[in-house]
Amino acid sequence: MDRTLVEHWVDAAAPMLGLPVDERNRGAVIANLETLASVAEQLEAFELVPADEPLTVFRR
Amino acid sequence: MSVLASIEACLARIERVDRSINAFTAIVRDRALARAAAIDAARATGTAAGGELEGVPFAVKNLFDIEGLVTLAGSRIEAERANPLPASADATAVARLEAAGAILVGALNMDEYAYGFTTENTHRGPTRNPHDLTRMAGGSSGGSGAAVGAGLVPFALGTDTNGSIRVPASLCGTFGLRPTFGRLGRGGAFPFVFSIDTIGPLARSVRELALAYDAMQGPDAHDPGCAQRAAEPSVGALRADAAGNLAGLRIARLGGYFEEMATPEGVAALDVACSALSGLTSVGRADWPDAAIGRAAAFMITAVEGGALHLDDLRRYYDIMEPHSRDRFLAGALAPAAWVHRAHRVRRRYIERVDTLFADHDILLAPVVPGVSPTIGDDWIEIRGRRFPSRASMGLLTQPVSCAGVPVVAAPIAREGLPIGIQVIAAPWCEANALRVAMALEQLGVARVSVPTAFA
Repeated sequence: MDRTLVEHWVDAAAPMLGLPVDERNRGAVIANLETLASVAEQLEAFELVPADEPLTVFRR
Repeated sequence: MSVLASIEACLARIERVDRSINAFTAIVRDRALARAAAIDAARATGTAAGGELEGVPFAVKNLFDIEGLVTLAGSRIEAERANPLPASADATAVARLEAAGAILVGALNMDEYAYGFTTENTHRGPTRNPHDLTRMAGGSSGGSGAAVGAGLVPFALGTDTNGSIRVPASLCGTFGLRPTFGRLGRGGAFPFVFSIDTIGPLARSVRELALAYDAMQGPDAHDPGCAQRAAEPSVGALRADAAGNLAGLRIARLGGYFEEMATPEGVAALDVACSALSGLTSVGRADWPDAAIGRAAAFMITAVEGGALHLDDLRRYYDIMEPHSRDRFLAGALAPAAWVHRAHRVRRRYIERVDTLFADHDILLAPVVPGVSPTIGDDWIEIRGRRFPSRASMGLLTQPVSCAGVPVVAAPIAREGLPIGIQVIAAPWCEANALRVAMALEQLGVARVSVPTAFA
């Protein structure tokens, strides 16, 4: 994923959630979110069908 | 020897040795001595309950509630937030072990809020590997691994979300059990990732591992994630000889991902185990389906659930959170919801695929960690010429297994040099099978706990 997109996401979402992101940690937070973005791409590429849902049911 | 004398000796040894390894964060001396004296008194009058755990000392990762102590979960926050409350009761697991006669002696160091594989805890200092004090104990149950590995207690409790029992067991050379997800009650244990967390023992022998596991079984009203399943004791399934323990079990070693992500040392440890087992039974080969995807799902779920759990801590206490993990928590809190929902859907499919493996196999074998313990402070580990960040990558081989929720025993392979372990993986609810194979390896002399001579 384009790093700029991750940077924009962090800069917009952190204040919305009240999370402290500033000069001392912005680079580390962006790097960690970039890692998660690459993991998300792996998961997106894994084929699923509509029935693959983590639903909870009663089974007695 | 009286139980009181035994516990006094145990406490004295902890005081002497723990200066070197930094495994303990609290000692419950008065409580332990009072319980020991009570057992001696009961024995004198013939009213002691008996049992193999009676009078046996143990310690717990400091995320388990201990009545009267603040539950730290490796943090400064829990101790320093306004009016921290001591636990009003023991965690379910602690209460059950003490009901079986075991005696709690203290609480153990860990990675803050269990988010780490190294126990380089900035607040309390790193726990050191008893086999080489310059090396990591593993984590996040590093205090548990080091305390058992140094012979300070016969068994200890840890928790395992992505490998936090198996990794320190492997690096410190002990046995460890991650049970089936939902098997053991987590009541009174500080959560990390509720949808993956398990609790379990680390021990110096398979029998003690099984005894502790059996004592903790049964439904737990304080854990909505604990199965309503009656206890299924495992000790009775253990046999006196290796052949008996292996009888009827279909065993295979895992190739593919599990060999590619291990160093030659990790693969060699597995070779030793498989070679020994092959003298008594057939050991086939199998491929775990989609291991990398299983790890990816666990990685995402961990970051996001952990970040959400600590959202308020990140807002209010960021400055006193563990520098090694706070920015990973923060990134997890910022991840889009669609990512983690996808991870849960993938996990559902993944578990179904893994489950099909057990139609043809009862036991699967794999390395626990890529290699031996890194030096404390190392930021990178190398696997077959590729560099990986050490704090996130020690779980490369454990995360795919725990994401599936299946039970697994970590067994320390006897070898020269630093310890390294293998995973003995069983089908859901079949912990006894994994314990039987681990005991067979112990009986064959292939797996054993060797307390370093400096601490023996």
